[in-house]
Amino acid sequence: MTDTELIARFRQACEDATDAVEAPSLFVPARARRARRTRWGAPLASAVLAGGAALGAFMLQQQLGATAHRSDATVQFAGVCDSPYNVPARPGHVIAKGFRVGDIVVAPAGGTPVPSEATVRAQLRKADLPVGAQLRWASIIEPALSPTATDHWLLTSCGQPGAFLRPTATDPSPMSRIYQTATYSVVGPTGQPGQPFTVQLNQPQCPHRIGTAGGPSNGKPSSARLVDGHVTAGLFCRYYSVLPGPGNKYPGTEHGAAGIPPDLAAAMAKAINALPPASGVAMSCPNDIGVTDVLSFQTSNGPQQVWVSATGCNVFKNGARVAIGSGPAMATYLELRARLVLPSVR
Amino acid sequence: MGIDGKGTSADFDAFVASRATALLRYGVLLFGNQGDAEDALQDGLEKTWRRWDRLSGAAPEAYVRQCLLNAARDSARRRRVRLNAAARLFTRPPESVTTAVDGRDELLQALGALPPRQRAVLLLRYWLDMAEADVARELGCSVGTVKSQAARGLARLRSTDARLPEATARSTSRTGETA
Repeated sequence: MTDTELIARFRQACEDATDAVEAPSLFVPARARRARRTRWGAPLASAVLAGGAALGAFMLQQQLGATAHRSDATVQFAGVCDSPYNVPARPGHVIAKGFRVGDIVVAPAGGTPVPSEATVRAQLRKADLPVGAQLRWASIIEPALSPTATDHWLLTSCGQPGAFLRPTATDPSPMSRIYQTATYSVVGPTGQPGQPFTVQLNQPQCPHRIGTAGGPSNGKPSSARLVDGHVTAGLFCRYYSVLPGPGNKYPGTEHGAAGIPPDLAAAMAKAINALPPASGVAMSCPNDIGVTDVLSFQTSNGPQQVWVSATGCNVFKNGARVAIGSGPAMATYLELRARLVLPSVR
Repeated sequence: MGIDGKGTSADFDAFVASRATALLRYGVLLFGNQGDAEDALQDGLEKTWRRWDRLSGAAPEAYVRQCLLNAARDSARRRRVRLNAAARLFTRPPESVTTAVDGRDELLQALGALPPRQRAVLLLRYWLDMAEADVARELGCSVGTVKSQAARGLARLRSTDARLPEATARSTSRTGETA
């Protein structure tokens, strides 16, 4: 290939990759003018740690047992937005315990890793939430959970007086503990719920033994799909065969695991849903040595699991429906699965 | 409203309105993801505004691009790893399931693996089609440096291209209209 051809391909690749990129309305010069007036004193990084920063998202983070820069008020959102932006935390007001924002960890001072302000903002940006929202540390009341005020990291527009956080979904399935998620929606003064969003509180982990995974019992018979709902994340767990044998030292235990990024999880779910159903199909699977993959998808309808026999006929099941791993959809699934770093089947 | 009697607020607004998207696209390729590019661009625009009275008559776009490059280099330095641009940019399986095989991803992955400055040279020289002298002026280096950086960058892209499946390379080269 000549340089000209290579350059042409490179140029086309750049064009294709950026064709859909448009500067959002976020790029108003107002912030720049403000910057000129104030010369931007405190960096936003300290503002994030101080609990107040102009960040483009709504979000809530629980499970903090920390002291931090906070409002003294404890009645719902009152006082949450009283403190000014970009004010460093006062002495003694520090983050004492790390917390997660998306897939990064905001660590206490001196902890590692310490994400940059840009990294935190990038994570929050993924929530695709209104401009002007801020990350705040505050004491709030969640009426549905407890009348007692508790401290939280939360994201707020600071423009919705009386808004509160309401848990909207819980997951009763046996695998729920691997996600420990909670879905919240912001309720404004009109009482109408806003767009719910989900926060992943802990790094998902596979159950060590497949016997404790609960089985694929979460499928809804009413659903025509193996994975029902908008997929937001996933976890891939591979288990040794439960059948003891000379080559199987650890029957039924975890062989490998991989977190599935949101987009990849969505694509895998789409491919799985496109697999042909197994109803009425007679199968003979002599090569099935019992290796099982458990795919746990985090969806708008709660966590859902699909169990896959990774050897033999590649049967996919969710407890209500069964599909056969064949055809173009299976090829797509395998291609997507190959992006995960997994142990080989043996 | 004039600012120090020179560049005006309206000028700056017009500059942002007309060039923000192009600058953001440059930033996306430089950083490998839109989020970081947007942040860096916003910061760059702020710096530009502070100097608008001096820049408005000169080359504000080049200044913003320089801000983006500096931000990318700082970012790479902080992380002590080179930005793997494509690895972050192309974690979009629904589209990339089909596009991953056409070689585009591989080229951009190779681009993302380059040092920020070399990446900038390739983008300015071959994507924005700037003359070598202009690239050298913008990056504050000699024309010879631009030539050598461009040659090394192309070599890296070519090594990636050589790994593409033959059928893929053939089908993609047919789409290269300038080839």
